[in-house]
Amino acid sequence: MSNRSKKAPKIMKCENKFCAGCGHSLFDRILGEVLTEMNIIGETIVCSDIGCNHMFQYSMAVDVIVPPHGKMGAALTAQKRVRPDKYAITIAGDGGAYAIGLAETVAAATRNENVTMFVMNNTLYAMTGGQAAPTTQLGQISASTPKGRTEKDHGLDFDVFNVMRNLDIAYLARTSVANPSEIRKTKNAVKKAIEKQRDNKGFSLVEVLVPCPTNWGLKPVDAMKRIENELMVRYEMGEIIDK
Amino acid sequence: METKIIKGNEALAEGAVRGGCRFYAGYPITPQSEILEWMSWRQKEVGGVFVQGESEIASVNMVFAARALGARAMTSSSGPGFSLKQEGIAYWVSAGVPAVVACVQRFGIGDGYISAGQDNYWQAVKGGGNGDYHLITLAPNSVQECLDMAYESFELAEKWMHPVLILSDGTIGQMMEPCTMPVMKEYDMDQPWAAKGTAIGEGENKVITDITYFQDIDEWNAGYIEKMRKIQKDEQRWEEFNIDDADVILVAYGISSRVAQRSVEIARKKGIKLGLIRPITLWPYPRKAFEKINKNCKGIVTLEMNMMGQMLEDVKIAVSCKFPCYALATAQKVAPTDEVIAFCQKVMDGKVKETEVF
Repeated sequence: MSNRSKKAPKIMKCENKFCAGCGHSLFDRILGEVLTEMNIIGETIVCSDIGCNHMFQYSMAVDVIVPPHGKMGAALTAQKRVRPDKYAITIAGDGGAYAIGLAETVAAATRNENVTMFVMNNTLYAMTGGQAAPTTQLGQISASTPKGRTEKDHGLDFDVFNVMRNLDIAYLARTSVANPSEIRKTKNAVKKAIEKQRDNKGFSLVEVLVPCPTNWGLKPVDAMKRIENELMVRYEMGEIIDK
Repeated sequence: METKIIKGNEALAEGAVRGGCRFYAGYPITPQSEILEWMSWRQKEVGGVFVQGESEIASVNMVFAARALGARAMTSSSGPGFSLKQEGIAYWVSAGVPAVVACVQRFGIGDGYISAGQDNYWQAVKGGGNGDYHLITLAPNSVQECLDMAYESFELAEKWMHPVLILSDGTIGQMMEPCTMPVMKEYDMDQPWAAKGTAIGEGENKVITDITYFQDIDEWNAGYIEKMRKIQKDEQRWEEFNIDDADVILVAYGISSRVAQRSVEIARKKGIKLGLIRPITLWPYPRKAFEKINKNCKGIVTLEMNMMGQMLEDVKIAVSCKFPCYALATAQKVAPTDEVIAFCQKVMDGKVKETEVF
């Protein structure tokens, strides 16, 4: 068997600290590869969210700023306005981008700010112990929906496509990290989103479905299967805006 | 240097611009909206950035990012809007981001009123957000000082790598006075501490964040408390009038200090020996000013536009409760001088009960 493993790019400066089977580490590696291949690490300032996603800071050698939880839409706006020559990128959580920071996310998109948001959708708040997020699926058991999410008690779940599909933005896509094919699609989407910023096309957002075996109570392989069999069926996948 | 007759709020905005402010984000709220409006056209003129944020929360966090990337950046607000900014300001503090915020105080709790007040004192000088910190707090009492303090604020913030608050009030913000305009300062946003991208092999990447990730917390705490001690020692500012022989000393800042100073002048002409300490920094509180009070002084009276005499506790601490302390708390009204003099006279005559601290 030939060894087809690829060496991690230098931006991945040490081993990550995510739980075994966590999707964040896969995404960070994808982003690290894209920044390396585009040769823009020195031109990039990543705006961190607060949550599991922020742990990219431990393992990625890239400039970072950390505003309060969810406020990336606002912070990216300012980053790009004061340093238009630098890439303004965030790795966000679904709670940060779609709940506490929804106003900032949508406002940045509405203004078509020339910034890029990568939103990790793992259908719950992971770092605080698996409470329900806007993306928690109907019927899904979480630490704050112990009998499962119901429409009556918790409302319907959130789909960013429904909110943004009619906005005048540059790029909107949903991918996952559930299998090698999806990982390739994610890498393409990440690259494309950053290219939109490079070409001054405006706002781009890629939602990535990532597993959280720890809080889903599933083995890593089964967590990937949940994405394939449940989430990728429930959600519209792929690019829906590409200008 | 040119002189213009302008509003306090406009002077504050122009002072910041001339002091190098090249990023402003804010949200409309009375009585500070002139700052936002001035910035909306002025930043464009000087090649800076103006963003009307979708909320105070968005605005304060825009300022975090702009300042973290090096630009001299500020926001401003009033009343409930200033409350909304507190989370963001706490992040400025813990990340050591030297940004500037102005609060043009209005009166009341919650939505309150749109008229002037001085009841944000506690929120302004005792922290405001979570965690134990103080903002370096400057209190202008004229249109000229609105400009001068904003002009200086960024250098003060950068000196300590700590946020600065300019605590104005609705009267100072809305009134018009002649104001001398200083020259425009040049500022290079490529500061060594700013995040501007670090290529692999260029050295350690920058992480502008709070204390929890990359530094030992005991070490961080020790550094922060040391910085606070130094600021407390070095940055106390005040103005004093006739305190050496005063029988009663007024203590007031902002618009109330204008009334207090006039009261001292009128009283002195009548042979009533009043004096005034005007704190210019509200944190650090100018405790040194109180060391000079003569031992025969019959009382100290704060004059402030709130209900509870918020500053009284700082006065009591400054004099270690060695003198009787009173608050003439006038709520939403600017006190008339005759009322102030009459109150001080009663203190002199021992006819007023010492004011309780809430």
